[in-house]
Amino acid sequence: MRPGVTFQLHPGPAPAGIVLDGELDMATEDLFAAALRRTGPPPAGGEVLVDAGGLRFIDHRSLTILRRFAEERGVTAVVRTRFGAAARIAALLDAPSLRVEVTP
Amino acid sequence: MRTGAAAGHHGYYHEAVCFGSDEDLLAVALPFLTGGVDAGEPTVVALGSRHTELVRAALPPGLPVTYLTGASVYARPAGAIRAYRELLAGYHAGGAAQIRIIGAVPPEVLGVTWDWWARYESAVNHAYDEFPLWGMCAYDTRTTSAAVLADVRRTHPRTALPGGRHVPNRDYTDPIPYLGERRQPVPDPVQRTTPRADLLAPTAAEARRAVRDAGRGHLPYQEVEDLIVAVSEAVANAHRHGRGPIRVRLWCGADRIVVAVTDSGTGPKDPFAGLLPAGDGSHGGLGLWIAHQSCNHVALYRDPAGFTIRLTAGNPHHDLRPESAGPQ
Repeated sequence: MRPGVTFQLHPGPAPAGIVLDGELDMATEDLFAAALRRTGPPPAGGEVLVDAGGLRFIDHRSLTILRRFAEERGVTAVVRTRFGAAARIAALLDAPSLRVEVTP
Repeated sequence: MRTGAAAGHHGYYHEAVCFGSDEDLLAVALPFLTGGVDAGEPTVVALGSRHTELVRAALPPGLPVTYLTGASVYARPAGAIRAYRELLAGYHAGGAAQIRIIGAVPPEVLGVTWDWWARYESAVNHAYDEFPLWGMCAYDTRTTSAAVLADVRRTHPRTALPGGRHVPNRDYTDPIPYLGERRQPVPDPVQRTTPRADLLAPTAAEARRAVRDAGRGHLPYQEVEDLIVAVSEAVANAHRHGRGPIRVRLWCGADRIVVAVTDSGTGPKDPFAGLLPAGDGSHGGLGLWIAHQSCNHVALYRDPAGFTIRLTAGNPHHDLRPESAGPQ
């Protein structure tokens, strides 16, 4: 992780998967949107698995960026994380293209 | 077509019921509920267990009245608005010409956390006004303070009385000026102690770290997580919309954590900020609303220092548990 950058995003081992770690908030919005764009086109109509096992924090605006990323590609972003608040925020956003699964 | 006192009214017909005895409550509630059922209107009771049982026992058996458990409906104002709007939208989509609801906030919120429920009572005049709702909010005058009853009269356009009377409240104040007052909440006694953290111009990440450090092992993990979310949103809001310097103070009580986020600005212009979502999140407007859904009390107020969002996780009812008021 570069100094001052609080998150990491890179392709995961699973097809159409990405790995997301760290903390995402107002300071990382532009970098996060740009990093998502660089992940390339996922399969249309399917799911993008976001392995967020190392995610410590994500705010509603970053979840909204992820939602828009999924909507623009016609897919569902499935976030697997231990940060349970992400699921509660996602429920408030009421976005079918975003699903947060809380892992133990 | 709408029936009863609200016949011909457009939008939310919002009434207070200030009762001094079980008989007074029943004298208003029973004709209201049976009238709704007779007219084929969705008719709902959300009064809390004791008064719900009182009403249920007094109604003819088998009446199609829906009973909601008051405690879950009225956990947090922003959540109550969200849940009621969903309920109302469902009835409205089903063709209901009018929906009748009689509800009561739980007695414990009539103390030091009343301020955000007063904001709720004012905001719902706007938030439910797109629905043909006749709503009655019941307050027991034997256990409700004069100050709370004054807010009830300012936030309800009318009062329903026994004998089928419905009188306007002269003190009723439109939500926009009422909510714009941004009154100071009752200070939490822990705020008189030295803060556990006092951060000047922190980033959202630094503020989150302070909450994480204070919360570890102090409150259940989920409550700490939700407070981290709320504080992060409040600090982000202060950076985006407020004026520097931003100050974050955090206090720990035996059963709670209190965080005050202050900037030298005047706070959000939207009087409904926090209680209603503004937009879909693409252009802001959700941060304060999410904070209101994530904490057990949120106060928004102005004082000479500027604008403060005070967030409480854990038990905010320090008036009910005075022995737990001290710092840890």
